[in-house]
Amino acid sequence: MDTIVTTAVVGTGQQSKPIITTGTPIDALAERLPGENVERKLLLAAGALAIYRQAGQIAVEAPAAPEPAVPETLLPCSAHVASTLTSLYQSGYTEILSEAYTLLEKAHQRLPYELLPVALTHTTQNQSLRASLLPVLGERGYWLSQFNTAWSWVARLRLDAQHILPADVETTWQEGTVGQRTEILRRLRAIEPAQALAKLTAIWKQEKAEARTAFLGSLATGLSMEDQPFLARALDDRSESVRTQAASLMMHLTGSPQSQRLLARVDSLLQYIDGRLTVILPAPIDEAWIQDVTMLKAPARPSTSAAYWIGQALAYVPPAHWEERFSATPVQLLEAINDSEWVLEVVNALVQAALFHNDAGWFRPLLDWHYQKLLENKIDHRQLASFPALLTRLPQHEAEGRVRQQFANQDYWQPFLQALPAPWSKEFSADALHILKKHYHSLDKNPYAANNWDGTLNTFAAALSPSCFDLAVTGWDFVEVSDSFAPYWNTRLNTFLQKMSIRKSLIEGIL
Amino acid sequence: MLLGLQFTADQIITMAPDASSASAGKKLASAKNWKSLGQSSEALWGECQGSALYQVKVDLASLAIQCSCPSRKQPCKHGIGLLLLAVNLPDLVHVTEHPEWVTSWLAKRASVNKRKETREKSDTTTPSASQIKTAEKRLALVKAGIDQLDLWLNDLIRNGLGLLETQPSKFWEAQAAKMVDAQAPGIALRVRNLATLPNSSPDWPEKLLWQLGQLALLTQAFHNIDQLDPGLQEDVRQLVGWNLKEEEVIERGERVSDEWLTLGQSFEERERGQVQHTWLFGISSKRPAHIIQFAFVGTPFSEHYLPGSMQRADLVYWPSLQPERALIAARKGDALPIQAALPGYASIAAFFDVVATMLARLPWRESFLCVLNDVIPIYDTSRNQWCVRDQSGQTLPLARGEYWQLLAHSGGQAIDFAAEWNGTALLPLGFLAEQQYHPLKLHRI
Repeated sequence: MDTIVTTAVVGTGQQSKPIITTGTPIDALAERLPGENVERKLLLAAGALAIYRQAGQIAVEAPAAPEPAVPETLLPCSAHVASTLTSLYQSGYTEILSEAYTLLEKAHQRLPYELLPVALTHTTQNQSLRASLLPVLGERGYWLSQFNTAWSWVARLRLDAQHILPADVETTWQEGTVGQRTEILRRLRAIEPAQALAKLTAIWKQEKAEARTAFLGSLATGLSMEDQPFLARALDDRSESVRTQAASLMMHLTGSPQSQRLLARVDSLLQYIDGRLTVILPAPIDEAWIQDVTMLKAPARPSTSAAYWIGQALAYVPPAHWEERFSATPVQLLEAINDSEWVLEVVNALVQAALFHNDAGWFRPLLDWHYQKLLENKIDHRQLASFPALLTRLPQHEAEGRVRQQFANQDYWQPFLQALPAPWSKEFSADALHILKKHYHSLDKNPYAANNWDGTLNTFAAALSPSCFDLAVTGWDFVEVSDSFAPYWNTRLNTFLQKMSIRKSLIEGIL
Repeated sequence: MLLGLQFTADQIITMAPDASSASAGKKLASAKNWKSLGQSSEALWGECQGSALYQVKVDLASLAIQCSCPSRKQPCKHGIGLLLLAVNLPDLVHVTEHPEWVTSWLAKRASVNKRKETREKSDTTTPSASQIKTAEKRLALVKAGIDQLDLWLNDLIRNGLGLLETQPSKFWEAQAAKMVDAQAPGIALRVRNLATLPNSSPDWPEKLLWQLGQLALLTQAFHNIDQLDPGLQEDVRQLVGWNLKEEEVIERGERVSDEWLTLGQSFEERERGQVQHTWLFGISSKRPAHIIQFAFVGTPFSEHYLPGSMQRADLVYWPSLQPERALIAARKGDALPIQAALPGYASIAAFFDVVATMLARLPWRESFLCVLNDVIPIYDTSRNQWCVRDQSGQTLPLARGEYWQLLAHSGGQAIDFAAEWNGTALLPLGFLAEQQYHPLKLHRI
């Protein structure tokens, strides 16, 4: 602290000979001031010193400038499209943004520089948009993202896309957070699965359960029988979450001794004789049986429900196993279980197993079976929970055909539409719009049917084929009933029309 | 293409009074909201269908906007929407004859401007006897107030600044109120600002002493005002709190005709309203100009200045040893976007040389227009500090905030940069990258 400041802080009244020198040319000027008023002299010297210092200010050495961004290879989108995108960031119509990014990528365009900060911030909060934003960030977007830790996902995704590891991989692996280290492991698995496993093995014992569980999950990438010994040890881990994770992975390794023990147990669970599939319940359901079908130690108080254990036992068995064992097609096997008292438990387990092992041969038969039972009123909609998941595994035209079948059912087509990948085909969009309008225009007669279409408006707005935009914004007669919900429906419809207008404007502006 | 308007949407957005007006304006910037649109060399206009049909018109020379809507915000969302539409979709705005409601508005504006000019020319400079008496009475009040202030300052130093650490804000407020009573509002504001210093940083005693010292220098200058250069006398009187009316400024101030760059604006909250600081720079005169406007809460600023534009105009400076504060006396051409390199300093050192010269002449100057050529914006992630780096490798920090737009546009390349320097940090006003000027709308901390 300067002497003059110390003097002022203490107070001239507290000192017999207050020192007010500054060690600058100001002292000579201060000497010329009348001496009787020390306080005034100090104040004027201090004021002059402040100006003297400010006037003599010298800039300091700058930190190293970053490497400049490399030149762009893409052209920016038009000002009109940029303006529409800006509105979308504010409106929260996230589903339209994904389509806009995809269109920009196809048109070899990028976001203009002024949109980069808002787009990166918006997408940081909306993770589902990250993959579609990445190609339209341009070189400047990649460059900019390095300066904000919240935007570090850009670099990660880019490295992922290029199948390379970051330069600081070893440091991050040693010193990073659990999330960063899991990411390193996952990426290394995609390139060198054995090396990743060796890395994990080396640190396994000294890590906490939370980290072990996260690291183990990364083995899902590039999983093979090479991982079986390690997973077998993890099945005995002291942490329950680690054991559960290990069992989930081991279920995929159909050649493992654990999977073979599972198959041995379930083989005695089903019998196929004379076109009939019968469930033979094990007796008793003991600890050894539970451990073999779950690959986990039996809980202290296991469930006594037979239905539960049938589901547990069959849900991870590859469905192809039954085709081979019984020399029967999926259609034959599903037909064969129809008369069983356990039919729903077995079919639900087969759905889970088909999805788990991604067995394409079973998707269509399972969908057909469900649809048939629905027509026969042998199942209700509560038993269709997994139907949308199966739908997404079909080619688009076929999935659309399945949903179109469902339009006849006025009470239950919303989940099917929501599951259908976007964008829809022109023909399907037209059919779906027809149904939507029909439902909307029937609201005055049956206001309580509103739930059938209300929840699907967002899906329509995001998925309708661009060739149906004109059809989508015409032919609506706003509901004018006295029901108090009418204004709400009309507002929702207006939002839908606005979204369609934005999509149309974006597509015309980009293409 | 629009005849008199060649700006970017970003520049138009800076005219909006707040974020919600900007957002609402963007929504109105599409053809479906407008029943009619038109433009001429003088004006842009349109009829917007809101709760009623609103008539919106823009004077392209001054960018003054008038709308028939009842909104208290100025410019309203319809005005912003019309300008944005004209910028984004210029093909929709055809050149045509003025409708009657635009013709009459333009005629009214021309008439008001003419009356103003006539009044300015005819204003007498000879004060009346009662005016002289009032002035003498005020001078006596100010002198007595400043004498009391000197005693108060001496007491602070005698008792020690250490005792001020625990003083409540009313301690400072009481002294500021005495300065208001003494009709020295400029000094009152300085005293009020002192209240923010104790405990604001580890070196607060030093900062407080510097401010008290500069206040003492000001009162010393006031005591000896007759010995000062006439220009400096004007400065001291204004710093103490004598305000000049615009008519007086026009009559006595220096008039400079030039092509003026509007480099940016900053905003400052005050007790009953908001202060707008607009910084201009003359291309030929190489002189900065600082336009200050005050608006009470809920009322708009009376004049519009479009950051990022350049326009030929006559400016009149407040009388000063080093004129800087100014007003626009007459706009003389279309406002055009800034697209060429800024006439700035080649290095931070060159800027500091000018700052030193200015301080030597007017030691109480607190802000300086800083225009630097070829600087690289840097975000030092390790220190969480934004700065600019000149070609010689020297740096100045930016005021606390986030400047991602600046970084995104520069891409690590050198840009031309305009900011307000407050002696500690740069408050960015705008920057030129790839032949386009980007104004930044910021608040002073």
